[in-house]
Amino acid sequence: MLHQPTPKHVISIFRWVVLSLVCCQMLSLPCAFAQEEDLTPICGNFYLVREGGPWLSRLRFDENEKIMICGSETPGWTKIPEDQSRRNLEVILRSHGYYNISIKKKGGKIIINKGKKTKIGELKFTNHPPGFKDRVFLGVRGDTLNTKSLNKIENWSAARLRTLGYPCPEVQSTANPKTGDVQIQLNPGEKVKILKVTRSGLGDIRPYALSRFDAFRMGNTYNADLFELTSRRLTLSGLADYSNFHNYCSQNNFKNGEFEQEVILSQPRSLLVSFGASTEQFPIAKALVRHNQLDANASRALLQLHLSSVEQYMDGYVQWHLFNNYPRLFLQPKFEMRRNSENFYEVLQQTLSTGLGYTHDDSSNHYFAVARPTYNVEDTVSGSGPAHTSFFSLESEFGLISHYYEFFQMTPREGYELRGDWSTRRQGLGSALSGDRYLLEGTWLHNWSGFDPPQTIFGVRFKFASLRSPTLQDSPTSLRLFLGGDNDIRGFSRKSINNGGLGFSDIAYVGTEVRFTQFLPFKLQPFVLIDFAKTAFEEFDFSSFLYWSPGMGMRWQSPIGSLRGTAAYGMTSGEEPNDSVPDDQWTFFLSFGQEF
Amino acid sequence: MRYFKILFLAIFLLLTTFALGLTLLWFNLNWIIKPSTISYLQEKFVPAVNMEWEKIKIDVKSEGLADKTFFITSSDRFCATYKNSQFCFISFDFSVAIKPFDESLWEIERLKIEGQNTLVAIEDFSDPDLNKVPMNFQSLIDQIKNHVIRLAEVLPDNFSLDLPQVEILTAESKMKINAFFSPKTLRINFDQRGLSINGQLSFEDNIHNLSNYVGEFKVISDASDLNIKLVGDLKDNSVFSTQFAVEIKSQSQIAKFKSTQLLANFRINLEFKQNISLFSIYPANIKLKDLVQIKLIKACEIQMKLGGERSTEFQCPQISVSDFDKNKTASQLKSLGLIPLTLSFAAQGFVNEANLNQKQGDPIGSLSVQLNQIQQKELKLNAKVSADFLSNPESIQVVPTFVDIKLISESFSKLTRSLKGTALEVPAPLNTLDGRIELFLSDAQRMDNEVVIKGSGLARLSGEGQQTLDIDISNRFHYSLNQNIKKHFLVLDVTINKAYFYLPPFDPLDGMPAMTKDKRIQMKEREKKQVQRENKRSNKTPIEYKINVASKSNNSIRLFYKLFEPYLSMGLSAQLTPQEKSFQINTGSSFVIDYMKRQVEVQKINMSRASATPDQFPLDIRLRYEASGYEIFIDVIGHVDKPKVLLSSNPSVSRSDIISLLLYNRTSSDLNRFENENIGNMQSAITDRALGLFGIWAFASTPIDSVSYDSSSQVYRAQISLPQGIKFDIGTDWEKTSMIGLRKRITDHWLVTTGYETTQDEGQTGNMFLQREFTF
Repeated sequence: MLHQPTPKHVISIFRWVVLSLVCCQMLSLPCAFAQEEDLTPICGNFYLVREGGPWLSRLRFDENEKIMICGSETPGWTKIPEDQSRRNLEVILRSHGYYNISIKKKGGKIIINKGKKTKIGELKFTNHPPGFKDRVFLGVRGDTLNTKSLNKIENWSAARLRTLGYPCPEVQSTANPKTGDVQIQLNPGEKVKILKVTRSGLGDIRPYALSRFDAFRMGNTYNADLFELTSRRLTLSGLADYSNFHNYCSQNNFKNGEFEQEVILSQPRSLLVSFGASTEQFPIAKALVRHNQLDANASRALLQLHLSSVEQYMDGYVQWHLFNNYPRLFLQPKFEMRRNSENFYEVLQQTLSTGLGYTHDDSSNHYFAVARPTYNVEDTVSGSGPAHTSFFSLESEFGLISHYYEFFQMTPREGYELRGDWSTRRQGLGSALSGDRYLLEGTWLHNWSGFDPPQTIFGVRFKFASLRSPTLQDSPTSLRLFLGGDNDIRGFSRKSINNGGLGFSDIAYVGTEVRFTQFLPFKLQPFVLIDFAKTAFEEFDFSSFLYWSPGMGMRWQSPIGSLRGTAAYGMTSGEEPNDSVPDDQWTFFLSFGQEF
Repeated sequence: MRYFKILFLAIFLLLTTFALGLTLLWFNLNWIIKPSTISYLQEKFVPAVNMEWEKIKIDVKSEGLADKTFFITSSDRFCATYKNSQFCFISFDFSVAIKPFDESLWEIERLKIEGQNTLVAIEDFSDPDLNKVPMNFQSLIDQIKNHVIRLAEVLPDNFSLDLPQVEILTAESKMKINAFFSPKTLRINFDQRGLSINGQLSFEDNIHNLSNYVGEFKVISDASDLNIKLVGDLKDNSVFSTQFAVEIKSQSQIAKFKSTQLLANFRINLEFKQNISLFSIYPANIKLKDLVQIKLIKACEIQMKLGGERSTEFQCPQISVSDFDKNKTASQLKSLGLIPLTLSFAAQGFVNEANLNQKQGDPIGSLSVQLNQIQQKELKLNAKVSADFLSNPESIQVVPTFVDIKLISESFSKLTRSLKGTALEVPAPLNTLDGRIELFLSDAQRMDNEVVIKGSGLARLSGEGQQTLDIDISNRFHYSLNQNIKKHFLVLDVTINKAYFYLPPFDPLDGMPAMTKDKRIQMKEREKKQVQRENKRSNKTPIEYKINVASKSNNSIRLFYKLFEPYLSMGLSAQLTPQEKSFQINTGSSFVIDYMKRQVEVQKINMSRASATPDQFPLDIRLRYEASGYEIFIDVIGHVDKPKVLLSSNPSVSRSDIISLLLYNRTSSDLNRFENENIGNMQSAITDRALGLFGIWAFASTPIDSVSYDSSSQVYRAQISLPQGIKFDIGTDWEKTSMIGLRKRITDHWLVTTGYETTQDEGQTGNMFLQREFTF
């Protein structure tokens, strides 16, 4: 006996049919409902066999291409002969990466089966100089084989050679459309050293003064990235709107190691008004006045006002480059007035200092050192710090940053940074108490397998700080050592590991992160992280108590900077030293511009 | 008497014994006729021959009193050698009947030989003395004729001779023959390097009756294919009469158009209607030329098949006019894109020596071809060409004696329509033109070592709008008769009176579509080989040419484009030879590029290509732009791939100011920091010659919002403002925009910036600001 179909059955069948059709269209799956030949009109009598559903068939012809195929109303181009159209179509399809084209005529329609798109296959470089293969180019992986991708390969190859000392390389590629393999013939040309840089467009500024921005030394092997880094430093300083190095390949000047830096100086004075947010503060209002050309050595003066919910400060300094022949040596008188409001303290701070600093660059790193005798006045409005204290201290700062760490600072991928800081005050030398604070922190990033663009980035960062003071209670709040937050152990909220607001005598932190840059589309980069931290209440007396936080996150390289979000679970293990240990917790951070 | 009796008795007994012995032997011939005996005899008397007699079986069968039949068979493979020749057989079956009392005395009853490898070394042919003796064709033919007749008489009704692999070695060459011979069929396959003959001769009855025969032989050589059909009879002992038809198939590539090859296949069927008694008309003392004058006046329908993807075929498959249904074929041809032509041939051949040795320079024939006038709607074609064939030691030289070709198309548009759908289809924009085309070739003048054929032509075409093509052509074709200089020479002068065309209305913002295949991407096997073949072919071409193209003035060529006001006018001068390709373009009057509410005047464009530097195209372009009361001049010099841009202005201002005026209509002192950065980027792109011609034009003629330039990869990117406030961004790379501090422009003065800030106690913190900058 046959059952009568119920409305439920009908609905089920209808759903199945609709789902099947959608499936077929979207994914080009073989199914009973697929049409024998699904055609997309191009123009005129030309039709394209659509492979895949409407969402997968992405080949679109722009208006210029359609004119090449079908003509236009313009006299002379109203009727394009079929053979000519076919040839043009073939050329256009090749430019879209289709090399196995078949054309047939059926019922007045010219039907084009574009065949399978050829993707870039293996890249084979010949005549490459030493060091060239330290980077593996993946910028065209999965790309269509066409003129654009070949240009991309050639541009990357030339740029790579320019980082290895060859300013005027020649690159020629040939590709096999069957396999997608590309053969790249390199002709690096002459390897040169930087022996002379002439600078133009400087007006009254001494050309030698600008050498303080150089990311190289005379005699170093030519590297276009270091020239680029030099230009960026210059523009970031506000001294110049634009800078670029030319090597004039056609004039052969480069063979003598001569290069020219072209600079467009900014207006000397500028006023900047900004509104925004930072990792830790929202909202922020800023006003900045600066003069970048105080003298012929491009000494600068700056006055800044910063207002946010967490801190408000005004500072001003003059960076005075006194000596014509030592452009990297500077004197920096500075004043600062600051108010910091955190959850567990509020501090008013004023400082007056004069710093003497020096910077240095070689072919790999940038080094800096500043020593700053400082007079400090600090009032603790709330919290456990001394209500009022004033003292004289010597602040010293030094460090090194690898050029490629600096170069890729906005899209971190490789390099290292090491910073040290020593703050000391001595009883009898303008201070009631003696004390020191040491800080050593660093970051190391490694681009796994040297892929370009990188696939996996492994990062390690550490921080060690020690506060030498008779008691923690007597230490100025600004010098106290706390943990927690996006800058160190990410499983705990900002400065939540604080020993009841007193801080610690020593803190040690190590964090690692593995970021997968090409794993997801839309420039989404997931990463996993784990941080460890230890604290000490007395000098180097680290307890067995361990703070640690595994977690994960996502980074998005947006058009206006990187957006990062992390979710980490803060945990502790070992014998709890006191009651002020925060509970195990999930902590979430969302940050702009902040990197590991 | 007694002695006489004894003597008689003795002789009688002796004879009787001998007779009895003979009789006994006669009836037992297999006692003596056996392989070992024959082998002994052969070694004794014919030592040069070496045969494997032990593999041969000999039987004798008596029929009646006197008749004997000998069977010589071999079921196993056996070989015989003679000097350097070797004959191997798989099977050998031969029986011969001896009939002492019959008139014929002996008769071959069965002959079936199946050979295997036969190697015949003919050493005598290499004997130099032999070549000195003139060969007497008459006696040779007589001998062959006698042998054939004699052989036909003795061969049995059922015989077969199968020699599948006979190699004939001479001192100079090696031939392979595969032959099969039976009463009704003679089949021979002959193969020598570069030449093979396959054919068969079939007898209507059988060879004994010397009946009619029909033969078909195919000669295939490197140069051409030859099909020979023979029809004749062997009844008359004195004359072998025969009719034969020869079909010559030849294929050669004669021309190419750009990348498209024009393939031409010629196939001519010649049919001799008269019977020619070739062997009987050959008395040694009479010249063949006097007796035989082969005159052919036949019509040939040539079909030009113009269809197909890449090839064009010319075929002349039928010589028989009667078989050609003009009406039917014409309709078929039309649908296939075929154009029927009717040709008349007049050919004459001479042979003045019996041994065919001609003196150098002697005419051995002439050919006159006349194309009956075609007067279809779109085309008139008259052609008559005559040539002499001269004898030369190594080749036959063709000497044109008369040329008169007239090709007139009254309606180019009809011709265009006729060619539609064929490989010779007229491309756009020429296909929309109409008018008259004339081409003439005439006047073959014999000079010392060459024949000069002059010609001329014209095209007076016009089309919709202002499209015009008005050109005059004159040419001289120098046909070389010098054996040492085999290259012929064509001089073609093309004068462009007017060439007005419209460019396709491409939108510059969509980018130029791909026009040519990227040569860097090529099918390794097919395309590379094709390029190599084309290169080889162009090197081998026997025709040198020199084509001079010149416009009448610098206003003769006009290109109309939606952005050109009123048009781009220019003059062209070009020289093309197989070794050299050079040209020069000079603009006439200036014109204005009007795009996106900006006007740039193009004052001059001079472009050339010299043969000495084939990869470089020297440029000299001057653009003029007016901004804020300044006149800006952009001079583009150098080469197309790496142009050098020189900027100047009136009144004179600095280069950055000029770029500033060009991009923003303001001097650099009025620019903000961000705009200044764009100026710098553009300056660098110009200095590093990273801007191509199109880029320069885009910068000069479109309002640019921002320019970024990566000096490492030397790649520039630009953002262009389109009408209705749309931003057109050319490949901004988020990763590359700026790596230390990132700035994105929101409006003229407001920016979004992100970056790091290092603080003493917080380390590095990221930040993002909406920023407004005032500079002073």
